[in-house]
Amino acid sequence: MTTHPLNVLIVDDSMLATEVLRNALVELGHKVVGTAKNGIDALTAYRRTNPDLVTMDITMPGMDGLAATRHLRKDFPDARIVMVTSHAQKGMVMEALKAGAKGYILKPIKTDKLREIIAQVTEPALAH
Amino acid sequence: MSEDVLERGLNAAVAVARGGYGVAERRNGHAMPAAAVRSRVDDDRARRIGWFKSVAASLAAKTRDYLSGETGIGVTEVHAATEHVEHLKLRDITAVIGVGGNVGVLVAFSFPIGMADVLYRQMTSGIEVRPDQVDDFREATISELANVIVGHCTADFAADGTTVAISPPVLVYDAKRIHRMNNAMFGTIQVLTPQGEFDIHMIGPRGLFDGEMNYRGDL
Repeated sequence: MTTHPLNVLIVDDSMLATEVLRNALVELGHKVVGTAKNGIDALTAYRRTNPDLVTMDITMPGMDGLAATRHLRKDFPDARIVMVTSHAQKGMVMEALKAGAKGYILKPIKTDKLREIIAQVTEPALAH
Repeated sequence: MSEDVLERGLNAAVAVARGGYGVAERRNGHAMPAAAVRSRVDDDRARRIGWFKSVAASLAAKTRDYLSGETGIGVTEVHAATEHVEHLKLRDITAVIGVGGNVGVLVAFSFPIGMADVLYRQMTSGIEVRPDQVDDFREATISELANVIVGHCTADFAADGTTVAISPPVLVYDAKRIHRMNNAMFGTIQVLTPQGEFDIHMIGPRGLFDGEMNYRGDL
């Protein structure tokens, strides 16, 4: 179980999804340090907030989540990015992992699923 | 069905509509009997209808799952029409999503304002919504519902191992009728619940209409 509160950046063009994620993250004891509505804004917000974790939607206007993940991982190789998306196809999961995402969960957002994926993504780092 | 196949089928349909044979001959560079062209058009139309039916089945199932899981609203009836649909009726608020890859359709979730309000209240319970944010959250509710349902459908659409992209939802506010033009194919699913009803429309080929459901012209 993750014991450290994480600073989280939420990247999603839906204000509903953003608020549902914010509530779930706060419920899990984490802190939302920033939000962004597309990939371009995400790059700026990442530099500004230096988060421990990014939740990244895929389908967004302008730069999508796959491109943003590739850019972030290029500039910040240690960035921990979890895709939070509605895409249920295996091919998209593979593309996300290839782009550098550490995890992938399907919308609609459930607190239990979020807790699980955050633990998977962050525990190895927190253990050191 | 690939876009290439679809386009070939549509071109053949145009050829037949124009008196056929000669146009097909010039496009393909070799002669083809009119009966063979008609047969190919019929086959292609049957494939397109079959494809529309499978898209409709996926949309209906995922909509039922989503409503039940996220809002507790049960779907009491679903009526799907995938043939001979000559017009679509958009209700007060409609979220339109483009589906790419082999699918190549627009999917439009169209709600009367009362049903949109029911969904908004269900899906924002637990979220603090200021009075000045109500309209924005209602729009976000409709958009997110459409996005999640179509996103889940991509698992069915991409069953052949391809990747299917979807566009961000675009909202259309005009209640209007859209009449089917030449090559367009329409399908519609009416979803009935105890709290109200709404429609899911399918429009293909995707390129015939823009994101706000305006006709762009023949291919």
